[in-house]
Amino acid sequence: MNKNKRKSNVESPGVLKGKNLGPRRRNTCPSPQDITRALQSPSSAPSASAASLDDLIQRCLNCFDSEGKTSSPRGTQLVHMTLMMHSWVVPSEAFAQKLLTLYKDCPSDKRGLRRTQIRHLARQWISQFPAVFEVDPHLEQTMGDLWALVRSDGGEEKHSQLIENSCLSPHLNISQAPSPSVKKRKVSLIFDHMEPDEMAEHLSYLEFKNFCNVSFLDYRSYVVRGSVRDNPALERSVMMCNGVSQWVQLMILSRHTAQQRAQVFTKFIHVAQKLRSLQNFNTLMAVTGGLCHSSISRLKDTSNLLPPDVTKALSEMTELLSSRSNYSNYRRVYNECTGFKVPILGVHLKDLISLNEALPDYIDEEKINLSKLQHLYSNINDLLALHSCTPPFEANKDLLHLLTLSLDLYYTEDEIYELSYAKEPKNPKVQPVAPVKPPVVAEWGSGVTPRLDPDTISKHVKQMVDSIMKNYDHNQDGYISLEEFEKIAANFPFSFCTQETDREGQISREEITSYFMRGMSVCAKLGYNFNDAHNFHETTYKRPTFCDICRGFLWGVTKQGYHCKDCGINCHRHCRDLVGIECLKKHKNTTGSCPCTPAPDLRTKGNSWSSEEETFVFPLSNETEHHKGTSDWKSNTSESVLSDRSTQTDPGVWTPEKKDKKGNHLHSRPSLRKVSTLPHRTRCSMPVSFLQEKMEELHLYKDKSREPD
Amino acid sequence: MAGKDYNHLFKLLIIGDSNVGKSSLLLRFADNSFSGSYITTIGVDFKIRTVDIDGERVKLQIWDTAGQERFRTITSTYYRNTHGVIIVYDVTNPESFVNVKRWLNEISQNCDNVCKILVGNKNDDPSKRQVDTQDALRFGESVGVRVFETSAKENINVEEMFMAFTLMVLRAKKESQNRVEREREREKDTVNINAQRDRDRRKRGKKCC
Repeated sequence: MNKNKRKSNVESPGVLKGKNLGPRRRNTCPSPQDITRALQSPSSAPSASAASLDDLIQRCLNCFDSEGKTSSPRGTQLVHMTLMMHSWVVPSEAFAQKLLTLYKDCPSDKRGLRRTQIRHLARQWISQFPAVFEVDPHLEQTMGDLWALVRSDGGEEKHSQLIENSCLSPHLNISQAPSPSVKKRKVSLIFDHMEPDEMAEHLSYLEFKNFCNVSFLDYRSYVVRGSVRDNPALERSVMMCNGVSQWVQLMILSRHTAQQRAQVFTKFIHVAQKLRSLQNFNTLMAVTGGLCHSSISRLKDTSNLLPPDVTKALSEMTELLSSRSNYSNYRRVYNECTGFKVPILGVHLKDLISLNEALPDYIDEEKINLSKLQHLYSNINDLLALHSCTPPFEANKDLLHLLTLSLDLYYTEDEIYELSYAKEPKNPKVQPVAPVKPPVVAEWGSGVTPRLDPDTISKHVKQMVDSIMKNYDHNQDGYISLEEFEKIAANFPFSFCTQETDREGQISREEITSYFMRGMSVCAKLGYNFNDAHNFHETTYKRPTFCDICRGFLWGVTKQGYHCKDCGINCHRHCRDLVGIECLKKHKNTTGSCPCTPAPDLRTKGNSWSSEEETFVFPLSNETEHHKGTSDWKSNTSESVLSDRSTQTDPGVWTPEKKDKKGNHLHSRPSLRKVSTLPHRTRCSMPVSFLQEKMEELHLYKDKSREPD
Repeated sequence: MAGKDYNHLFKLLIIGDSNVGKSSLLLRFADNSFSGSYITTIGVDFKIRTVDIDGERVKLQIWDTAGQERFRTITSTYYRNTHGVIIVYDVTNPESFVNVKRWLNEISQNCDNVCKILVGNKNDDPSKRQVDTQDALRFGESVGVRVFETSAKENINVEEMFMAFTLMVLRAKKESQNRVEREREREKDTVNINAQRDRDRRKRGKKCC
């Protein structure tokens, strides 16, 4: 298959040779081809860039002497590359099969050395890439056969022992990141108290940990399959990049005055500078990307207040990270850096994909394109080099917990823009209509922006609450002061008030946990199940009609807007995507019995393009869990007070008890506001206004909740 | 710019879900010049190809977001100064087609008035097809974007697509130039008429309503 695909590229097999390259190249540095050739070819230059699988294995075997040592650095590299990269062109199982056959069919006169070499190669394979064997049972089987053969081969006990031993002691250094120093000092978990350096170091620590979890198998799976599905390590890394960018924007946008926003902006510039000096380019890209995002750069009042050196620093960063000439500035600087350095993952992934795409797997029909493997190998090795680095800083666990949870937040672009416009309206004279929009439908399909599963988030919440209690529960009675809690809570853009506490002026561990779970379930889009899609049709209205989402008039003569045939709401074309209200009809149908519309039937009609259809399915939860998780949540229309209370510790469910008593418990506070217009929105999981300013909300809602008394 | 060997320079961007074949489309069009242009320190660079259209030399700078689809901050930097965006989906993968709408949304967030074209790639095995051509065409019509189906693997329609798109971008450029000129002329006219009328008014006194 692959062979055929590359056929066209193979037409000019000489294209990889140096003489064709010469005139085309503008730069004078040696090309990777040159390096490859210099590195790996013992003497036979022409065949170095391509070889059949048999040839390649022969060459590798020849690198070993009878003691199992590789003859030269060149040989070591060839063996390492072959063991790591062969799977891009041939299945590992086939590779193992070849070894097995070679071992079996070894002519008796050469048997001694050859078999030893095969054993050494196999041993190195198993010891250096144990992960490969864990994921491939067929390979394990074949290697088991080889190994049985080795064992049956009399007098080779020593070697079989070696294999087993190495198998039992897998590579630990990959997951073994230096543990954060367990300092006993109390730390402040308040954003404003955190030093930029401290922040940069802790972000770098998280970044480093993520990078260490990504193995060469993950890179391969991403490049070959183009997806982060079933690739949690890489997924986590990508999420952190996006998470940092969003967090930077949110922290700026959550401030009330332009002056405060400029201060946070400045702080992040200092974080960026520290990241630069730590040579953590990946997080630097994320932070700078956040600062350059149009939701921030449009804030004229804020940018007017920035000191000149901050503006200058920002432009230096953007220059460094500019995509111009394919990130040439960054590449130059990155190559000059030594020691601990974190590459911009995206840039290097693109290189890998382009290489994989552009270079044929085979040359001359059956010869493996070693040059391709070498290119990919050196690129991947560059990314993996970080694994063996020791970061030049220490991290505090409590701060890590705080940051981890902060980065779990997930917002859509629209939500961020909305917040940005709320802070500094386009036209200051016109007060923004500020329609409190319901949360936007998950912006990307599950395959595009993966988000965390509830289990992970609850784990992160628990960690952070532990950290809070450790640092703020001075007399260790399980309570911290409300005042301090509110300061910590201000690290997060949640906008609901603190619940009634059972102790005046204090808040318990459980209450804190519940607060954060509630916030995260909204802000990390946990548990949102927008599979209750509307049945929108473009409609020509005969009478003046207003949009149910933005309240604006539906302008035009024909086809002014969209009408849902099931529940009857009307909206603009551009508001269609913002509809967070579930479709009434479907909701009615499902109330009581099965509140969760099963996702699969929607997903099967994948070739329609209605955005409401893409529901986010948690990567780790199966269908039944899913049901369980959301059923108490949604089917609250007939639930008793008791059941409502029982859900209080569930993610995202928290209904004030006072409302319960009044039989009004179906309405969360935000939906109360809209109850007159949209009475069907009774899900208490709909804190519509979470993007509003926290303080405002606090007062507003406190007042509201007191009114019924 | 003494040695300027082209009349127009356009920056085109190829976007779409991962694994829809963006890079291979580009590679096919860029005439396999890839292996020669790879230099470690410069990375895998965007491709340049100059084409002749209507007797004019058009230089195309084509950028590929391969592998970076998920990095929102990275992809958004690519949109700057882009003349045309090629949105690619995979006809064998319905999800990639569903996501076209998201890409369109992202484009509109990042650039105003940019030419767009929708390309269904991997159109080489009818048995694997999952996105109906009619659906794609209907959708294209609804959002005002032309649709092409290509196969980078079999080299079907790739050249045609790029050429048609280049022509679109070129026309759009000329149209906007014309519009600017026309506006300028109209402005001139308006000034003249107004001036004339003002003069008339002054002569005739307050007769106008």
